[in-house]
Amino acid sequence: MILNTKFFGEVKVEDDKLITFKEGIPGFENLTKFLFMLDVDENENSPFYWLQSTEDIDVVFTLFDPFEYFEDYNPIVSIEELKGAIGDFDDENILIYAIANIPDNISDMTINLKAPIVINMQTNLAKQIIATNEDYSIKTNLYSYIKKGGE
Amino acid sequence: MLVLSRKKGDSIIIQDNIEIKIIEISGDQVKIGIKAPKDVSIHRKEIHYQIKEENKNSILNSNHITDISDIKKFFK
Repeated sequence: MILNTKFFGEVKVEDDKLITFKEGIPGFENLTKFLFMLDVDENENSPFYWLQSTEDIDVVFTLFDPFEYFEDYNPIVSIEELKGAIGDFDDENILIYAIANIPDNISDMTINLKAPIVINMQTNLAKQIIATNEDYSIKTNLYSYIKKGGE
Repeated sequence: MLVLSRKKGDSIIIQDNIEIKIIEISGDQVKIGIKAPKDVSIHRKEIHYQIKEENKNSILNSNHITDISDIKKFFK
């Protein structure tokens, strides 16, 4: 199928490559089908990933690999709850990304470490989980963290 | 909404397998214990609300982001 994307124009994608959020994403409960895109840059590795709704072109999330910046990142969630939402999985088939909030002033960019997106590549099911870690914030300033050199 | 009066130490049961117990009452604070199957997710309501709002604020809005290369520049 051909999908219209907000920033990349028309993209050809196999139906079985779409990611399903059975209950949507909080705030967008009616949207269940998303296209997960890697940002392939000709010149260098890009830290960005995109989650484009196939049902509403205006809904695009920017995702980051949290482990890239927070080596010790370890969101805790009930495995039973997770399996109920995204099916059985082996650890190597799980992808975890944090949603970025990018305001006008890009240096105020934050990422949500409290509620990461978990994708099961075996089932193409995904869910935004809520980590029980008390010290993880919904708004972690990524830019200042990077500029500090990841202290 | 169903409203029940309970005393300290009392419980309510939901669907045979979820127990909510009043552990402690002091002033306007109530300490609640919850026993539920492991696949039932339990969170404070405000965290749910905050995540919802944060998600709504996180979608890339064409009003202020016209070109994603603007974002990329920050990471070079």
